[in-house]
Amino acid sequence: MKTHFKHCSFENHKGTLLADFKITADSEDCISASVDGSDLFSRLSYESALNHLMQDVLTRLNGASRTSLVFHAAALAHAGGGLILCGRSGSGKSSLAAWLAASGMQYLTDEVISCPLNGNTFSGFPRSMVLKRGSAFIWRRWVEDANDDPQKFRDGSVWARPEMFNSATVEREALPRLLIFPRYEKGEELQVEKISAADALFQLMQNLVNARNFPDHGMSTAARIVQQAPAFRMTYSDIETATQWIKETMTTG
Amino acid sequence: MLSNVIPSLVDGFRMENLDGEFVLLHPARDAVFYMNRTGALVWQLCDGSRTVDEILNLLSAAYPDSAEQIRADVPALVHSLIDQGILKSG
Repeated sequence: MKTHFKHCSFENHKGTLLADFKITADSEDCISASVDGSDLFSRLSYESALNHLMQDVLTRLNGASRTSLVFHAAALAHAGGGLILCGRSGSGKSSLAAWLAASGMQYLTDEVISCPLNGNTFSGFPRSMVLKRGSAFIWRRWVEDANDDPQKFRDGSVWARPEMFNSATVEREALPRLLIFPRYEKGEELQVEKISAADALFQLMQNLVNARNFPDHGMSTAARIVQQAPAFRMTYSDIETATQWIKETMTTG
Repeated sequence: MLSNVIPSLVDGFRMENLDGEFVLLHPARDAVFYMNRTGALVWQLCDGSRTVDEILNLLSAAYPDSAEQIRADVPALVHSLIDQGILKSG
C-alpha cells in the first residue's frame, strides 16, 4: 500500500482525525473493516477489501475539503500547462492518462483533482493508477515489460505506479491549459468538439465531489476554471490518435 | 394548451452567466442545468408577467426571420423547462 501511495504527502499532518479504520484479517480471503465503530464490510477477499478501502478513504478525504473543489478527473502536465481529463469512472480517463504518461507527459492523477478556492493552479492525488481489465490492451505491454511488479487483482485490473509508464516525473500541480471530457467508444473515430464555457461548467459541476461544502456549491470557482482553459468533448477509440491531438493542442494552444 | 400559461421562475436557483449562456444550480435539489443562448433568453422572459403567447410574439417581433422556428420550438422548450422543474406554470 505504501508503494502505491508514495507520492501522496502524508507526512507532518497534524489535522483533525477524519475517520478511524479498524481492519481485521482472519486470512487473506476473510478481511473485515469498520470505520468509526460501524461496520464497513466483512469477510471480503484481500483485493476486494483493498478496493473498498481505497474508495472509502478517497471519498472521505475528498468530501471533507472546504478549501478546495475536488473533481473526478485525471490530470497530466505538458509543456508547462495542465491537462484535465474530466469524467466519472468508465469514461476512459485512466487509460488515456496512462497512455499520455507513457508518451512523455507528466502524471498528476488518474482519479481526482483539487482546485483551491483561491489560486489558479490545481493539484492531483498521485496514487498508483487503477487500470481496469477492459483497457488491458492499452496498458498490458508496459505492465509486462515493467521491472517492478504491479499489484494484480483477480478481476483483471492492476494498480500500476506511474513511473512504470514514464520514469521521468510525477507533478504535484499545474495551471489549467486544456480541459477535456473524454468518452471511450469502441470502434468510433476520433471526434473532438469545442464546447462553450457554460457547457464546460455544466459538465464540470456534475463531476464535483464536495459541492455541498460551499455556499454556492463551488460554482464560482468552477466558472473560473472553465474560463482559464478551452474545453472539448472527445469521443475516441484509437488512443494514439487521441494522444496525438492532445499533445499538439497542448503545445500549440 | 400552453399558449395562455404564464410561466415563472422557480425559486432557489443560482445562475452563472458565461457569454450569454447560463448554468443554473439548484442547491437544495442538487441539480445543475445548462442553457444555451436561446434557452437563456426564453428563461429570462418567463418571469411571471407574460403568457407563452406573449413571449412568442415578443421573440417573433425581435427575430422576424426566425418567427416560424420560434413558434415551433419555444412552446416545446417552455414545456421541457416546466417538466424539469426550472419553470413553474401559472
